[in-house]
Amino acid sequence: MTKPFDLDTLHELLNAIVDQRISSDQFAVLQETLKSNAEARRIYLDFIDLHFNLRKLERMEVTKDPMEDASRRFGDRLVESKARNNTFQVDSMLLNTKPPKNRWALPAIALFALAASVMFALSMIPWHSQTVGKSTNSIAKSDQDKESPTTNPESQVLLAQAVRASFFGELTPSLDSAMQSNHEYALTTGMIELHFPTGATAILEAPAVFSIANAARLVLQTGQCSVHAPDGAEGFQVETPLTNIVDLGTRFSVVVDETGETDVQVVEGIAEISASSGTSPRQEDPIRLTDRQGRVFSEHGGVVSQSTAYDDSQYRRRLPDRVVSYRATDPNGSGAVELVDVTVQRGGDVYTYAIDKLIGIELTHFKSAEGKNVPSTAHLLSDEHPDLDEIVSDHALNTGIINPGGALEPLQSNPVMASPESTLTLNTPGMSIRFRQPIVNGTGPDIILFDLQTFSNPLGGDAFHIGPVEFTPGLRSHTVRIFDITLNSKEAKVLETFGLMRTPSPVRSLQELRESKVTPSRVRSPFRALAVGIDLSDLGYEIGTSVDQLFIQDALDDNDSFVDPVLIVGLPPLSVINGPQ
Amino acid sequence: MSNEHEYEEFLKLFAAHRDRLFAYVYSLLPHHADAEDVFQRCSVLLWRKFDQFQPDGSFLAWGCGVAFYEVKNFLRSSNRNRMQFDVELVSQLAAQRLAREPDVSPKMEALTGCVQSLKASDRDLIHHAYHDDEGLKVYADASGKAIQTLYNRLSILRRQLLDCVQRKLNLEGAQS
Repeated sequence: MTKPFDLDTLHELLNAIVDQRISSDQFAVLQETLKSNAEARRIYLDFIDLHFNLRKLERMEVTKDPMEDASRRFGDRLVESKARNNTFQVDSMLLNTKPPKNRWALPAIALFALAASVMFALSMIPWHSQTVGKSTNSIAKSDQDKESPTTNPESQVLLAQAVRASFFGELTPSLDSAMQSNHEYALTTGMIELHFPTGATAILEAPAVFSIANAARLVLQTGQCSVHAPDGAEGFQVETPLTNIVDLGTRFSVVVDETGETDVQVVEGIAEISASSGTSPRQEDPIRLTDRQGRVFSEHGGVVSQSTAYDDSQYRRRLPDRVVSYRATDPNGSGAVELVDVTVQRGGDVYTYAIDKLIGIELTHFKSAEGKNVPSTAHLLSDEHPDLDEIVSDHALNTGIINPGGALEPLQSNPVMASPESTLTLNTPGMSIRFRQPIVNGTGPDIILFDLQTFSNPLGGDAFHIGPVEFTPGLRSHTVRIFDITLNSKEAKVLETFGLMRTPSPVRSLQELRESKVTPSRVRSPFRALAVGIDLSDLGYEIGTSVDQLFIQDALDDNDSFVDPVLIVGLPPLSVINGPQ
Repeated sequence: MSNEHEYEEFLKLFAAHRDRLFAYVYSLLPHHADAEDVFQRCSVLLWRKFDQFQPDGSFLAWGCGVAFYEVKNFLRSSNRNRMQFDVELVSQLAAQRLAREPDVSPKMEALTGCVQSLKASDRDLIHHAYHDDEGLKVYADASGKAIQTLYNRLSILRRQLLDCVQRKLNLEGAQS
């Protein structure tokens, strides 16, 4: 029987329940109202959708990162509904498995759900016992190496670079693979750089919807694109809903919003712009723009345009400084183990550093995340009694001290690290590291942190704070919320399965970490190593300053997942390197 | 279908419907920690049972079916918390939820526009209420405002946003 209800009262109850401040009496009234009225249920479901969508919308807001700012700038429909698409590459560990049948007991799931960063298994992977003596030390292949090479790459448009890129409804293509023609791509996060056969390049920033018409024409429905057409690539075209832009050499940017309004800025060279086919031709076309000129095209009963102030910031010359990729050994053919080298863009130039050039660390303080049976150590399965110092200093990506404690807000004063035995609770949660040689702050990343991650953890990596151990004026903590190589990236390598040591209660000091009883276990789902570069300038250090100690804390953005910094390395100073690649 | 292909298929489908699936669970268990708990369990089950999924069927409908039973299991086995809907209401909501408009993207587009057209202080409040799990407590302390005042304003804004989204959708419907 349908009972009438008061709309204002219903709204009051709905607000109380989503704000988690509903009393038991109110809850009883809400339940009764919903049970007896379908219209009330409809309003409830609309309200829940609103609450859920606001949550999604606001959690896309990640500050202090130009790429995230670019994503936010348009408020396009893509941002909300598609941006958290989970795209993964198929990993080789699962090639031989069928979906498992009833092999995972529920209590074990509960245990993993409680564990700080090791999640429940997506799939059961039969453990292949290590073959002793297999010393091929082969380099772990990334998935792009396994794909067959594209035919006739000279005529194809290639995805040359990508950072934090994900696409709606499809996996991110491998680097250097050919993009499909006449296929609508929706770039929902990050940035990509496309190389056209004629030599033109286009950098697209999410959110963007585009397709490739042919080897010299890009169709941009919405989003932001920076084009460079060097000698030989003149005539490269970008078609937007309202305009057709021809680059007569060399650089321009174009931004298309959801209404089709097109903002063209020529940095240098000449671009010719006409109304696109499908709109009425105009007498004034083509309009020519040259150096440092901008024009906005919009629709008001036909395509109209007006000149606009030139905005240098709209053009992006290159993808930002970041960790581009890394290589690791795959000694047993079952996943990556040791880092071999890492490729980083610093100050616009790309460098590859072999492991022997990277600067290692020692751990000088540790206080773990809260919770019972939190794993504190990841170690190789072959190593049954892992030595703390060894697993910190080795080059393996699947060993290390993990799950440091943290705080929602980053530190603004010196962490407490050396409390006497009786007052260990005073120790600041987190971990402190000391580099074996001081790290000199240069342009771009100076330190790289690798994090273990499986698909049920945040795809962008576990957020963490990093800061000085001694706050002098000008220094600050910096929060990393998204990694350079995320789970969406084909560069994130699947790791060889590893073991975990759990302590029964949280560890409050390094001494407790060394002395605590531990319970071993092993991970069952595929983990990958994510990577992020940290620029000491973000902590307030001047260029040229040397830093030898830092403090890292989890950012507590996710109750079940804490950062697992399995490998942290410092980069050599920019003046002492092999030179750009 | 090779196993590699199967896995890739599962991931594609799961990725495309994950948000809607979570929204379904949350409607039945409007408490984030509970909803996340059940959602995680459900995700494992969907993979385990993926060989039972009919490829030409609706992944979302199938997934919601699995989720529905997980919600019921959860309600049965959790310490009988008075603040959880009973099974009868959960069944009613489940049926009504599944029958709704499948495509949420128009709603999100409309919502983005509606939030942008709020005045700056209201946008700020929405941001602080939703940006993290702390809710308004921290914002209330930092701004010196009474938390009840903020909750009251948030309630008004939610209602405004609901009306605004509906107006935009009606407009879109009329135009299409």
